[in-house]
Amino acid sequence: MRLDVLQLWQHAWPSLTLLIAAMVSLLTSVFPSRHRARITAVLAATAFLLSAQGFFHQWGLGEAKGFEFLVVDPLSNYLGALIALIGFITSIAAYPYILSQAEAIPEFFSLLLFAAFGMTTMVMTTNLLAFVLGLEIMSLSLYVLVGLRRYDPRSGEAAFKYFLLGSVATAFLLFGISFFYGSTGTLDLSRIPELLPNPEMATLFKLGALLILLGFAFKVGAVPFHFWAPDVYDGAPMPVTGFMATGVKVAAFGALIRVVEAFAPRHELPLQRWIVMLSFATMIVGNLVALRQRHLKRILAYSSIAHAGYLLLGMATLVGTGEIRAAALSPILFYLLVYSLLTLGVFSVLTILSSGGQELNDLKDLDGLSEKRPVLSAVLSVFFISLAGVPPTAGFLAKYYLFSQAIQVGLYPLAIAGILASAVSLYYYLGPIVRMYFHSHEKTWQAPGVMASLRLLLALMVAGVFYLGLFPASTLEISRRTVPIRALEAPLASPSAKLP
Amino acid sequence: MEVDFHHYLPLIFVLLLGLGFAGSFLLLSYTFGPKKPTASKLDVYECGVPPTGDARERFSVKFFLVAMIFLLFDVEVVFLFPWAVLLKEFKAAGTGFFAFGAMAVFLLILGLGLLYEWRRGALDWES
Repeated sequence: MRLDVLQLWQHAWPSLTLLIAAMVSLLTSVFPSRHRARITAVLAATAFLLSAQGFFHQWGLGEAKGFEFLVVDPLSNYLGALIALIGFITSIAAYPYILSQAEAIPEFFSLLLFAAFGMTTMVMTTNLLAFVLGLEIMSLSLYVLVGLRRYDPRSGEAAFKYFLLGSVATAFLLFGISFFYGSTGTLDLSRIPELLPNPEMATLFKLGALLILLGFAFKVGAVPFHFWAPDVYDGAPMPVTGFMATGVKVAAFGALIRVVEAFAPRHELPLQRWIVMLSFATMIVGNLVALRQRHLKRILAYSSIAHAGYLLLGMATLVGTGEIRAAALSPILFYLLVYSLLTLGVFSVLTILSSGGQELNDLKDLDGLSEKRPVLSAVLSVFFISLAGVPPTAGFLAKYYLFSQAIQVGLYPLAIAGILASAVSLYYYLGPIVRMYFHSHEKTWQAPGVMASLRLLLALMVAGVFYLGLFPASTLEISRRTVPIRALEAPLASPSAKLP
Repeated sequence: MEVDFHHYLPLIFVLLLGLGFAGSFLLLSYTFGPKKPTASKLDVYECGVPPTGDARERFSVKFFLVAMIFLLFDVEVVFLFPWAVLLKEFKAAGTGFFAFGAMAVFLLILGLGLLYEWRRGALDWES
């Protein structure tokens, strides 16, 4: 047993680092200090960076290691590193914002760490029970984070809505998991291939799989389960919105990859048809509704819905290949990376603009920004253009790989719908840019100067957008080598699960 | 599909029986019981004293905080109790150290939480 604990630490330390840092950062309030916010922020940023480095190092080892509940394989390490980096960027970008609030709440950083720990747990398991545990750690932290501006009724409303609808989604998921357990006798997804098809339980099994998929659809904000997203994104504090739009998506899609991977060989499930329908609706509705939005955060909410649709297209491709293959998985992983980079970039700039104590809200607030903050405007424009998928940038290549893969497996209607939808998206991504450059400013926008560390970070991110767009080979190679290893040794000596 | 629901049949009977008994008694007393309402009979029952104000009051958020903290530590006891009962068996099986360590970590985390809420003033009623 003792050895097990040591082994666990050895393989899962990047994730546990986040947990320990979260608890330690809560304790900074035990010794009151004027620098509490700064200490917590530095602690959080360091922990995130350390954790990302750890995940990347473990990714390099390439081995897969299965514990009873945790799986440490290249996929979990890739996604873990991505989540830790998202946390790092968020904590740096959020620091001035948190200080500018009426109540500076250092707990923000602790909650961020807790949420990221939950996310890493979600992607580090094939056991549905452990997955739900991670999901709840993440969700509970996020409910509080969304309601962080508690003197702002909109923030409270968003937190309440998110709590109610998030609970409903979890209920769906748990209901599905219970059907899954009832019909197979196991909670471990990696056991599915050894199960024999059982016609008596086929209906329950199908129902379980469908409900699990719907629970995921809620969490990633896929149409028609997307209604919570715009309201919650709108009311949440700016850095939290950015964190949710990226971190939750990465974690949920990471877990979904494992679910899809497990269910794909079961031909009695019309898995591909389900995902294709979800993807189709999500891409179309997300992009079309975004056209009509006047609030910046709502545009970004629908944009994130639309991107969930593109990612679901990737998932449909993954099912289509039958056997999981690097060729189908790597576009999804690359897309997750690029999408996170771009969305976080947009939200980092918006967070800076909201750091004057006033939340940036209406599209009008951006009017004439280029005269007052030329550099920030240029940076924001780069991220928006790249999100729309314009060629020299990363956003184009990510979409290109995703769609071309879909065409290769023969999902022509879906790929064409995706390409058309993303052409439409250009309009609402250009909207804010037009506002910044071609409208005269009526409002004198108060936003403080930018910290040196944040400037460096933004510069690196912009460089990343062009680097990934022009020289994607090495990064693609990384995502290509991140193939989940399905055949894990059975963790403990237990009778192999058979259908009852 | 064919799932054996026969095992659940007695359960359904018990449920129906309970509902039937309770429902019929309520219905009988409602139809045949004499009704002589007076002002004091229709009054809200508040421990026998005349009621003061509405029941839909806003409660101080402190109550919820206390309830939450109570729940936390109550659940802790739920975990502690079986652990304490089984510890000797763990020791006999040679995994006593592991069982002790696991609970120590659990208690440490909870203790940190207690320290946090204490220092943040969650336990002070007046502030």
